[in-house]
Amino acid sequence: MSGGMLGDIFILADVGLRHYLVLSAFLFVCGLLTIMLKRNAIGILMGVELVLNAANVNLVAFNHFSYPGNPGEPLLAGQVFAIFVIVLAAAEAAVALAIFLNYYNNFATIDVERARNLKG
Amino acid sequence: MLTSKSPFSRFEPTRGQVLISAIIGGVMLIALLLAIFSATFPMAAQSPGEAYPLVSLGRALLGDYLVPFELASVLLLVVMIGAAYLAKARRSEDKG
Repeated sequence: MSGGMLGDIFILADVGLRHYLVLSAFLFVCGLLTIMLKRNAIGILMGVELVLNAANVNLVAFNHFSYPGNPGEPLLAGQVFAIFVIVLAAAEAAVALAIFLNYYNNFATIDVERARNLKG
Repeated sequence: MLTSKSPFSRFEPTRGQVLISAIIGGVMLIALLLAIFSATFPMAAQSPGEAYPLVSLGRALLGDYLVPFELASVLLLVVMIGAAYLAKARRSEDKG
């Protein structure tokens, strides 16, 4: 039982790698559908965040179940990488929101279908 | 507001777009599930690490991963300056 006391409370022992992978696939497809169907630029940004978080779930799940390292020196590459993905997602959201603000100021809409005259 | 719908613009996708997106999404979901349930993943015999490795995570961030940690701070600074510049550019144009 690797869950310890909290694991006993939440019955995490029965949840395996595939559960996390199925959750991740579902999140990824939700994000993909959001990106494809939304015409609101902020909605598309939300879809991108869903896809990134699906990747994060995969990283942490594989780190925990497949490559947890040795006793005494745990291998934390997946979790650290997930933290950096979160940081990069925040940076990307900040820049994208600034761009959308400029776009809204210029076109009075954030419908991405209207962005055709942005192409050079 | 940026998020509210203007009365003159329709934000709903067309029926064809919904159909194509549903097909692509369904195919992607089925392919991912097939891949997940047919693959054999390398499983550690037993997870030796702590269940909630917050302490070692903090030590790793300031130890083995110190350089990317500092690079992330530089990146956040650049992004903050860039976002402020992008958001400010239009307003100074209005004044001038």
